[in-house]
Amino acid sequence: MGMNPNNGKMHGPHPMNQRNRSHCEPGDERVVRIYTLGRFSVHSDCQSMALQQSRHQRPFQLLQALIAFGGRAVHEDMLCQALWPDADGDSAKNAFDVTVHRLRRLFDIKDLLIVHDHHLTLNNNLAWVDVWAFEQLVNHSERLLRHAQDPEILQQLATCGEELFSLYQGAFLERESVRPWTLSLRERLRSKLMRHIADTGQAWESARQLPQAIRVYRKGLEIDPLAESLYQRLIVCLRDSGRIAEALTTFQQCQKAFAEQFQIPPSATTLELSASLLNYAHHH
Amino acid sequence: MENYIVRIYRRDPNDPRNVLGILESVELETRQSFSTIGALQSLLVPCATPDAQGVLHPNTDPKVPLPRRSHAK
Repeated sequence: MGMNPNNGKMHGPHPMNQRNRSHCEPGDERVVRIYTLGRFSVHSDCQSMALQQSRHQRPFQLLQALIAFGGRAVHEDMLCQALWPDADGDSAKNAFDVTVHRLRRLFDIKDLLIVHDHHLTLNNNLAWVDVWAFEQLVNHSERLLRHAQDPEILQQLATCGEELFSLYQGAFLERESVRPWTLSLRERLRSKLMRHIADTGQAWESARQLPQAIRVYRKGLEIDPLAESLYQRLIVCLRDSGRIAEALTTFQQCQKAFAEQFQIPPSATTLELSASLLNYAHHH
Repeated sequence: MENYIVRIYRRDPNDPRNVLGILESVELETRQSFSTIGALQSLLVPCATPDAQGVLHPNTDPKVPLPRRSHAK
């Protein structure tokens, strides 16, 4: 898939323009939609499924674990270890088989869950998962960033960023009880988003679109209030926009966050930036 | 099993032992900060006491209670 920087057309279809976009598109009624970022909810046939019933808990935990391990061709041993760590081989395998059967009955959609050679797959032709959409979008925006000097591409990047923030309603399964097998994906997604924020902010700065850069950096600080490099970039953008009072407030927020968490001041670079604000105000 | 997340926010380029970060305990849902590798080690080794060489050894005596940890989340 190539890209023509002259017309701003992207390589391949935009991930969010594919057929799984809305809850209930015509002809798409069988598609299952699974939300795991910030909350856990499942929609099938355009209806929200009842997740709270205790008899459904194990099947939905299996679904969560399947997604946590990538959703495709996940070996049953990994899932057994996650869900029945204390069970021996045979009883864990029995529990797995029964739970897969119950999950299939809950959805009642042929080929939604495919078991092949001891590997379980969630069929992405029938299921939309927010995590998958998120990762597709991050990859898409990484490709866009390589051509961010093109104004049309920059506009696509803005749309992509809004969709990413809209998808990322919180960390992966953050409202569920703590389970170690959620951590790897949770941290990977968070890290990808923070990297996307830093790179996108830089692209906006290079294009001298400071309001967009400011917005992106502020989003990043909502996710991680200790990301000092984002405070620094935000202060620079606000200063260069002539918004000195906001830049000073941002510095104070950074100072407060570091005092509360680490009982130390911000780094020398941040302190130098705060000093530059006063000079800037004096000269402008 | 105990699970932790370690986030490193700053490294001292002149002294690799100086690292600023947060240790999150997944099960206890606590967050504790550290500013050196030694401090991180001591957070992971409850009730540890240094030996003559300054090396920390964990509390293996079940009668010694683990220290209370702050719930900063």
